[in-house]
Amino acid sequence: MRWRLAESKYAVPAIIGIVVLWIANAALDSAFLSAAQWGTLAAAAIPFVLAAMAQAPAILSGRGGIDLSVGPLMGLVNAIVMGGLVKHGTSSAVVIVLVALGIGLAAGFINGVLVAYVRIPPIIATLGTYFVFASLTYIVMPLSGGTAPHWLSQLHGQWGPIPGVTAFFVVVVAIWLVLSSTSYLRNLLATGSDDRAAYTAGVDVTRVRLVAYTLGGVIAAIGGLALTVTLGSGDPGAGPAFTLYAIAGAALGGLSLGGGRGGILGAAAGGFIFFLTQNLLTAVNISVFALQIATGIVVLVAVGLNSIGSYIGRRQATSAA
Amino acid sequence: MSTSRDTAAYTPPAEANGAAARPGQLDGALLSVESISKRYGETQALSAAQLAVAPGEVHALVGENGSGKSSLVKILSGVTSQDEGTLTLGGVPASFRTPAQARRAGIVAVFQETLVASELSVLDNVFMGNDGLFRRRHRRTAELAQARAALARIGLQSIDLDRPLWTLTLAQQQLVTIARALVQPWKLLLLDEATSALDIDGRERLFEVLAEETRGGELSVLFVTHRMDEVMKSSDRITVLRAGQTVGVLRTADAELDYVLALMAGESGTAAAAVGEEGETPALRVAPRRAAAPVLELADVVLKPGATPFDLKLSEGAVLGVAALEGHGQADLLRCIAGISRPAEGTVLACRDGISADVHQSRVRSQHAREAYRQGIVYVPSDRKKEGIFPGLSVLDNLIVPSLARLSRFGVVRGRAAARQANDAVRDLGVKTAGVRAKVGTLSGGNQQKVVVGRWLLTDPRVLVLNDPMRGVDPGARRDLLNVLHQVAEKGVAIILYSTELEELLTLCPEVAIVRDHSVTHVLSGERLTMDALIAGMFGRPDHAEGAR
Amino acid sequence: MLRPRASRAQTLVQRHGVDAVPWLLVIALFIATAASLDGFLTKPSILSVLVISALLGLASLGQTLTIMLGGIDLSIPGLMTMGNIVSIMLAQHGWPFLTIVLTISAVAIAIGTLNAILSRALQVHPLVVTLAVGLIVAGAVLTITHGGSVNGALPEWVVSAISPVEHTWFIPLPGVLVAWIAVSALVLWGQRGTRFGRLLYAIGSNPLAARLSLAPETVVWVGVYQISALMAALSGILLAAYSGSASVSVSQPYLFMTVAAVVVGGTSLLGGSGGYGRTILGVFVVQLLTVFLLGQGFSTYVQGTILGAMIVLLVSIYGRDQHVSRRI
Repeated sequence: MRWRLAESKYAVPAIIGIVVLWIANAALDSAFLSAAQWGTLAAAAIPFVLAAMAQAPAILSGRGGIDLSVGPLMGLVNAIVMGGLVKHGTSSAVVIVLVALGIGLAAGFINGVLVAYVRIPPIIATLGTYFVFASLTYIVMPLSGGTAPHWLSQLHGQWGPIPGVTAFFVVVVAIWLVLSSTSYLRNLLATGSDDRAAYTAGVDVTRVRLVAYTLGGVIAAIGGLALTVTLGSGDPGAGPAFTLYAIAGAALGGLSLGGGRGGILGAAAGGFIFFLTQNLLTAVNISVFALQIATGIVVLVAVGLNSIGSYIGRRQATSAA
Repeated sequence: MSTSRDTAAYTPPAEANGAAARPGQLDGALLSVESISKRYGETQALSAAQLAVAPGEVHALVGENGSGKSSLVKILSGVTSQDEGTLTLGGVPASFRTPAQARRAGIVAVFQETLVASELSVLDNVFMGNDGLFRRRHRRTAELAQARAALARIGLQSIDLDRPLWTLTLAQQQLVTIARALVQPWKLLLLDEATSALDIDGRERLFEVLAEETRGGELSVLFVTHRMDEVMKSSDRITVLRAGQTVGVLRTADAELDYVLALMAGESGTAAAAVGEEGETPALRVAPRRAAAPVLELADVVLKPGATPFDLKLSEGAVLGVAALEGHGQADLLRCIAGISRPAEGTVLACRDGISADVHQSRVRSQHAREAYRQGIVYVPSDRKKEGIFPGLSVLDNLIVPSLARLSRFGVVRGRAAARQANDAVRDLGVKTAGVRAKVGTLSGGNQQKVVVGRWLLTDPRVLVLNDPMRGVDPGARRDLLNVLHQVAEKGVAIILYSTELEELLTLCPEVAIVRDHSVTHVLSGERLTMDALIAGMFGRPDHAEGAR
Repeated sequence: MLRPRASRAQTLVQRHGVDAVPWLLVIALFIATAASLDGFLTKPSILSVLVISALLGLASLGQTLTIMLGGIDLSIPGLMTMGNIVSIMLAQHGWPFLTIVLTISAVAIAIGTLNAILSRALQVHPLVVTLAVGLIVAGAVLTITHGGSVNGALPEWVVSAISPVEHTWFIPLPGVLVAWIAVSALVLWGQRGTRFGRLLYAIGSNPLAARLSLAPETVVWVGVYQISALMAALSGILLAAYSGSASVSVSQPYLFMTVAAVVVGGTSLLGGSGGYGRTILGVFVVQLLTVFLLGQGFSTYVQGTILGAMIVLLVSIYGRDQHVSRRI
């Protein structure tokens, strides 16, 4: 499985970042040192990680690929689970998971059709669905509230040192591993790297992109379930912010915003970095508003580093050729 | 051009060699192309072209720039579909909507542009497109073995298959795209100038391999190239295209190179040598001025690292043609004169009143084009859709963009002055439009091109650099443009005109520079400036080249 | 051979259909609202719709220009929050209104410059940059004001300028409408009549051709984002006057409404076409739809869903990209 090595090369700065931030966090926040609190910590981190992972397939598919609807979709899943199912007495795990995945699949498929078949530039297509999903969320659940069913809130805890929410992460990584044992990942990276090369070589770039956005929708739905665990309830306003975090996470995780470079584990690492910086800032007791400023700056730094990275990459490429 | 006569005149050799009377027909052909036509907007790229490739042969497809070779390859490889005509593969009618379908049918293509995923590994690039959307055709170990074997055959031994592709040289990258075609079962390999990135060794090795592959009598190769030495050495038969039509099919063993070149150039090619001959277009050459002041001086310019340095001088009212095969650096030459790109070495000096200024003197890259503009050097780009027109804007708005500073006072556009100048330009250039308020996107290609040229004439230039302005332009508009350029030159503007239409160069330019391998190899003028000499120079025929220098 | 036919149909729609769509929508919505809502056809309620349209219209001005350029500005709500809260805060400190406006304008112009420079320098789509900058601006305002807890009052004449029942000098319209009309006239003239406007269209239409025509791209980008930030901040001040107090959340819907107004009006998100005239129609569509749906008892979220879907639908008619095979 060489691809994982190749992918992790781009994630090296992200992993260094995680280590540094972990140490910094540990110095300020005792929770990082006591394994007994990792469950709570991970529950706070997981939506950031999954949002960045959900963003990855769209970005990797290239030609301005991006999925702005990731955040609102997470919020929509949270709202449908809490405001739709749980509120009306349905708390069966099977039903909730199936409904969530179904929503993710459908939403991602719509994005994919708009981008790949109708050929609307991704930034516009997913901005449209961003608005639709964000508004639908409030229609489904106008006010925050409710209590997550037991089997979900249980994941907020931990088994030994392993946080319960790891389950979500494992599921997404498993999906990705299955895909990478097929030819899809190669097709996706080829399409993202140069869709003309991929097309002339015989790759069905249209379907590759459709699958990428659909996959992003499914991961976002899993992220929505994770968000429900994190919140312990429903909140119609919680989702949309994650779009920006997801983009920043993907950028921090070494994915080229131009497409074709990086992988979902890098995005996960980037998402985690984003969480760690937020946590660090909270730990130094800055106000919630100053945190907002810091978040904006982190996003700008993330995309700035990313564009410097691709600039250096291009330089290397031209000097080699 | 009376093609019917040409075809009649040129088929005998093919017939004599036992080929069918009609070039598209051949008994037991692997691939036959019947009367294929393709139109891109205004341009008729192919009109009823014919082609037949026998099993087990290496077939060369030749023609000048714009003769329809690339369009034919695109149709055969499934990138685009024909408007009319039929394809038959192995006796069965075939039609490909995508390259994937063509691949499955056994047609694999390698293009001139090195189409690779530079972030992916060598192995992934070799096997790109080989699988289904999810279904893997081979295990990784099998892929490794196959890729290694294919790469080794074409001269890329001992390369790490996990290296990202951007770490390879351009030539190596191109070999990877060729290996991509070879690792799967194929019947017909299309090489669309795919060898231009390779060095001589690489090319020779490739053609040796292809000769071996086709020896079995089942696989065939169709290759498009500008290198006539390659054609004469490595092909079994040659199909010649001109202006979208098949004008000859020859067996290489019996073909004379001069004859093939003459076929490519057409009947006018042999006759157009004489200047000012009778014909539709009168000669528009501007007589060189005596003691004209120099306006542009290129000294020791190296267009690309490793290319030969050259000098070039231009004075007021001079009209210098540039002839080159595509990809030989003519665009770099024009762009570095206009300050859009920078030469690897050497200086481009603009001279005015005896004072010279280096176009590339500023440290800020983006200032070079501005400096060139200040010196009166303006550039008309080649791809008018991509680089020229503003499709949604009016003719007027398209015309005045570079002149806006002059046409406005305190940031307010002087509407009447702008309209007057635009109207004058439309009249002088003969732009056929409903008015200056019409959207430029609604105009024909030729008229759009006139607008792009007019945009720069409005800036009152001293040096007009044109990058293939006649491409895809109808004959009427072409004549108009030539006349305009003639008038402009008479007024003292120096012109540098690159055109793929050699006849136009011969009509307008008293001097033509030949660019080959990123350097100006000859400047032809006077009696030496003939169609034959141009073609010989462009294709790098040593005998002609020596004589011409 | 489906492709050519599809594109021909597309050009037809481009030429005629899209031009008519916003007009038809305005008329249809006006009739629907008038029919379903008693008392809609009275002067005060028409004027009320016009006043909220003026607010959105002024806020959408910058969005129109950035989208015409091929960008987008999502920092508009952040800047509106700034105008909204900071104006009240400074009024509380007893600053004269003119000084308040000038101060806020200067800061807004600086932020707009930052938006443009960052997008150009980092080569990142302005969407990401402006979203982040908007976050920073709103965060900064809330930090300074401790969560927006300010309670000053804007001068009486400013408040009355935005009241539908007031008049301006001898004109029987509130000041904000007069201002919107004046600004609209200026912009409609300026987008064709000034060098800046023509360069804006050229760069939006074909950035590469504009660069080869030596158009000063960065200058135009900076100018457009400055205008956008300035108009957003000023709209924020008006919003403060409209609601009578500072509010953290009142600007949030404008992220979506400004984009919707521009796109529904028919300005392509690919840049280079449309103009402010279309946005004015789009503004009426958005606000009439709001009034109509609220009158029907629907929430603003139903409106959001409909407008989001409308954006996707309209863009799929006229903003499509080329198929990959056309780029080989």
